[in-house]
Amino acid sequence: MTLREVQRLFFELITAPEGVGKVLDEREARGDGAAAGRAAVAELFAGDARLSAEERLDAYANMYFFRLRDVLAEDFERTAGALGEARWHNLVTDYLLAHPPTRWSLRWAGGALPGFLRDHAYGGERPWLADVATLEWARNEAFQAEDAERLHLETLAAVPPEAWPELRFVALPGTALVESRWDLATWWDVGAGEPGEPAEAPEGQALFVWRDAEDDVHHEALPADDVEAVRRLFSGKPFAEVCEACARAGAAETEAENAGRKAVELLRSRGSGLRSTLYVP
Amino acid sequence: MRGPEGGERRPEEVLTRATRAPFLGHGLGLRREHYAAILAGETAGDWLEAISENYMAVGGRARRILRAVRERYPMTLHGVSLGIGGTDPIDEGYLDALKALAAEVEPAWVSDHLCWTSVGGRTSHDLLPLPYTEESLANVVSRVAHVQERLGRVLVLENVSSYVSYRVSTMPEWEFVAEVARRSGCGLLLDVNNVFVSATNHGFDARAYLAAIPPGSVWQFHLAGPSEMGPLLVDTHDHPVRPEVWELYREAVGRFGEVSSLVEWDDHIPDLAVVRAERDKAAAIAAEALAGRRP
Repeated sequence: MTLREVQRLFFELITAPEGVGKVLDEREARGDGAAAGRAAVAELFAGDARLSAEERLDAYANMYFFRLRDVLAEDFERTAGALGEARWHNLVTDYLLAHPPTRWSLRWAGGALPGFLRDHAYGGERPWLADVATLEWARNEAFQAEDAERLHLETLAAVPPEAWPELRFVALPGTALVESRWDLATWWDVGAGEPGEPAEAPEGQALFVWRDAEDDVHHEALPADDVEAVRRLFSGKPFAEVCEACARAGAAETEAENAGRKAVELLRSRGSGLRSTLYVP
Repeated sequence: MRGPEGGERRPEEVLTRATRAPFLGHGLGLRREHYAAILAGETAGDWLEAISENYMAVGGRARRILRAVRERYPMTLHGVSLGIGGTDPIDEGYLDALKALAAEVEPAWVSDHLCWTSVGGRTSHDLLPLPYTEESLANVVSRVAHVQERLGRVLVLENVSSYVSYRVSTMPEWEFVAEVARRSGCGLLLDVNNVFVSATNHGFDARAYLAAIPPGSVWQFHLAGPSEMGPLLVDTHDHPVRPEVWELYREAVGRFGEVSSLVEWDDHIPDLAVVRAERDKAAAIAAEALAGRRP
């Protein structure tokens, strides 16, 4: 057996969802015990009177699962809390089968969990929970995102008027817009104890997630009239299209000048932290 | 090419650094639970070791605090994800991020573990033991050469705790570790607790292990406390250093001389003062052992 084959077998055994013994039973039942079952384990690995090789491998299997379960529980504290311990354990078991870690940092292990939960039976029972997981992931990303230069008002002031229609902005790494059919903002503020289910938000809710200059992470529900303009700002559309979104949003504000004023006000806004998350490329 | 103290070195000099590791004193592993105390001025020993991956490709508070701590303390970077014994290609993106972090931190050295972590594009996020064979040895030596070339510095490798061993191994762990250092020119981070844990789990003589390691190759000692899980000792870093490990450390200082030591505590992390007391004990034992060693 080559080194690579040894490592493949080791890895398959310690990442089996129900432990080393179960996967070896299955292999024996299938008739491939000699190549990858108990005979192979006995040939490759040493045990002793205290613990068999199989039990020693199981120590690694337990560490693999519990390490990931606990890291994911930290990343998705509200999601895990809403599910409860047993269901969280089951969800992580299913998740790791579908999305085993492939990248060098544990901080990326949960990247596919919100989408996975959306399609999982537990997500079907609580259709709002995948949005909670999405919000938690966005907050994690904002907290750890790489540093970048922020937009200063002086930079905006130096832009000549004729250049504004084509001016494009880029969101800082980690900035996100999380959209939901539920009022997650209120639900989040209730706390992690027994928050119950969030109320439905008939118009939908767009949560703007960002990290401020002090490295604290925030989220805030945007006024409905601002959502399309912020979407366009974040997706790098020219400023003229941001103004257009502002014009559409306000029935009374159909004039370009008013729309432009509102769009500039969005950029100047301190309450939402928008400006601090943008820069001019 | 940057040397361990930040100066320029020629490649041929880098390969001889294993005999001239800088002595940083006795330090602690940097953990977020102690950020506030350290930044408030509470002493953390002589130097700090940061987990590389916690700060690689990361911005915000973690990176800002790392910069602030670095202004106050000598530091090293200690990784857990390199997978030097693996058979998947080395992740060049990982090396880029590590190199960028090292350029900013200017650590005294960069270390990782003598183990494998991933195969087939999947990662265990664990420090998995290698079979001690010629194939495995050649693989590690070749990968160390690549990493040292890419980072432009000596790589320091730590022996890991293990819970299972391979019947297909053709040499004992200590011979493998010594050969890796001899053939690759890497430095060794001798984790004294890991020697004790593996010796207990596999029934070998920890002192024979120490006796096989070339004295000039050891750049650093690690000290930590394991947990008992049934008949196994597990390297959990959540207890004080065990008396047997202090004794082994005393012997290690006697054999390897004035080597930088570091206390790790990663789970159920107590106040900084508790970890610092362990560090103080390491310094005191080293002083006694060195006094006994001198003519």
